[in-house]
Amino acid sequence: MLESLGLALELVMNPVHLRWLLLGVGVGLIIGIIPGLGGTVGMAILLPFIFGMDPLSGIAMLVGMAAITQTSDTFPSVLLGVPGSSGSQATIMDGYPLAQRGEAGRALNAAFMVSAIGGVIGAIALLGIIFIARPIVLAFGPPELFMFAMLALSIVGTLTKGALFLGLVSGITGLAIGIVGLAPQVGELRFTFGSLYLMDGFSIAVLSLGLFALPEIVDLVAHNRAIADTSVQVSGGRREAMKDVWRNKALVVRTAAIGTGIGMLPGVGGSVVDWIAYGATVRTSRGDNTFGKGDIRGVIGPESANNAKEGGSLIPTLLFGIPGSGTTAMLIGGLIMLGLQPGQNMITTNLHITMAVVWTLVIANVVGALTCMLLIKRVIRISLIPARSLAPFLLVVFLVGAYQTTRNWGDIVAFFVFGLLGWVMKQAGVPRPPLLIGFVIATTVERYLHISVGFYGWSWITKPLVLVLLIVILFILFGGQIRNLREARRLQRSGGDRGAV
Amino acid sequence: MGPSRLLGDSVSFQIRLRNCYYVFFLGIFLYVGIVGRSFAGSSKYLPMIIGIVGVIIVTLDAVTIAYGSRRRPVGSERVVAGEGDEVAVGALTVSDIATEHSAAYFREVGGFVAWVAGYVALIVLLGFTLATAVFLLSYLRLSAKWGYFATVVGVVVTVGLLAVLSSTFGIDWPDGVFSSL
Repeated sequence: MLESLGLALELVMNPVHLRWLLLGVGVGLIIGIIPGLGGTVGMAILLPFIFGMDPLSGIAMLVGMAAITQTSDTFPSVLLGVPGSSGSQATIMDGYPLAQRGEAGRALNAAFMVSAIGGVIGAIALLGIIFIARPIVLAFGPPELFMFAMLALSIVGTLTKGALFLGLVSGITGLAIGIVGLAPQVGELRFTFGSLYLMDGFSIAVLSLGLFALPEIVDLVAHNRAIADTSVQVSGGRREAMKDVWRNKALVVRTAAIGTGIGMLPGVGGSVVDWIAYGATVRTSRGDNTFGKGDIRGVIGPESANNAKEGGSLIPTLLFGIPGSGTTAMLIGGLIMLGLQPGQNMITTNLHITMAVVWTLVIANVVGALTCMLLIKRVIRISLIPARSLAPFLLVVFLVGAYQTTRNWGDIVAFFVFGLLGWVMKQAGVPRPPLLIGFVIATTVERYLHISVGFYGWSWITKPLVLVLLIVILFILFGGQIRNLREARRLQRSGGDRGAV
Repeated sequence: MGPSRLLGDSVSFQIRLRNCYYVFFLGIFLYVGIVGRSFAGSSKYLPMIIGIVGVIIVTLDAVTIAYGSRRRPVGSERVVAGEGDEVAVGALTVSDIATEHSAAYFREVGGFVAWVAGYVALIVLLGFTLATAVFLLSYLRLSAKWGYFATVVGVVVTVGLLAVLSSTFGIDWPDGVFSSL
């Protein structure tokens, strides 16, 4: 395994791969700065361009982009009080007050330093878990992997707190969209309505561009918001930030560990990791409690965690082929486009690729953080551009990306149809990531289902681990509902008793 | 429009839109499940599972909402504010809603959609490169209110980049009806 690690480093340090990695970092830097356009949109923009690339270069670009958006999304969080992506929501709590106090430079520099450290810790965790997880992953058969995919979908469904069914409907909609086209097992055309374009099914690039990128642009234009506030003072603060990071080194490691752990849970990562890390920071910090008023620890905790999360989220993605978020769902799509199948072979025949991902994460996080620190003043200028001036150029990029998928007019039509669906979902409050995850795992789910039924008939359902996973799924889906019902009954009963008294 | 009026409109619009979404996808799941039965061999399993589970979930949610609204006091309906952030209407503030569904918002959205539709029509007629130049020229001047010089520079740089992309990566653009003329 150490041999693979060395080989992977050699491959990643190849100038060709480094060039693509830096391109991904550049795209991620810009995407992260624009509020609302997180790693998912970045992936959607890059995916169409990886067709025909060699796998390592393609992965370097995608992983580099995904890693850096978690760093550059700090700019709008600190400068404007608007999260650059879902992973930087908690940074606002203390980052924005620091900026208002004229300490934006200190907050940004500290955030970028701990982002790099957190990202490296996440990458090391990914490496460590590959060593441990190898025999466990290899022990799973198709029925267990099918149930794991279902488990991921049910966890994703529960992301919509208190509106579980909305998330599930979204995930099942994704599965339904994912089965359009030629059935892989028997070659039967499903739901193509005689269209040649639909024979190969929808492309993940077109789906994700339409679902995520277009609605965000529409909303940005509708609000015509400049990305950042001109009045913010950003100069200086690097030395003080270094001292802050050194003083809080234990916090950096602790929140990075939290980020990695939560990142490993399919569907849970993105939107909650920074809040959990922030909560842990507040609870475990000693001394003056100035959280919410501009405490640097409130920036350090979440920022270390959200970069570490990337390494954690790659564990189910690469080892089980189960995406943990919209971004990793698209990464799986990208791996498939590059001719790689996520799953067991990522720790057997393609182990060097997995190791290359580890190195890419390390390099992208360090390079990304250094770039952000060097470009603080220049980036501010980009962030002053009003949305209406950016939108036409982004629209051109989206159309270029969508059309490159199959170079068919159907791509453009599908892009706008999914754009409309994404906008309706956004306005209706229906979560979109579960749809994307459902779409991505549709092929995997069907393959495992087909193999399971072929090998075991329907008796695979009675396999012990399958039953355990089924119980876990049912508990996840209905445990909360049953608890709520009990609570409601208890309250009703106690209300009735008081009324009787 | 006062904040409370705006809030009420936003929430009811969100709930109405979500109900439409549910009805639409209930139909889709029913269709997938019924048509799925006719597929050969193992290709029918997943469509049937999607149909059955989808219909069950939508029905369960409808029952839960009906049961909840019968028990819950008026004004405490639950609403999903954004991507995964749920809040109770009673505690809702304007900032909790991902998008304010005001008339001004819809006017802006409508305006941008008209621009996009115009751009697509231009692509159909003129082909991608020429349509992009015309779209950028008019949008940057009329909507983004850029100056003449900046607009021309923006258009030239974008079209230039498209040409470089096309020659370097062999990327094709959609042809228009009049592209060959």
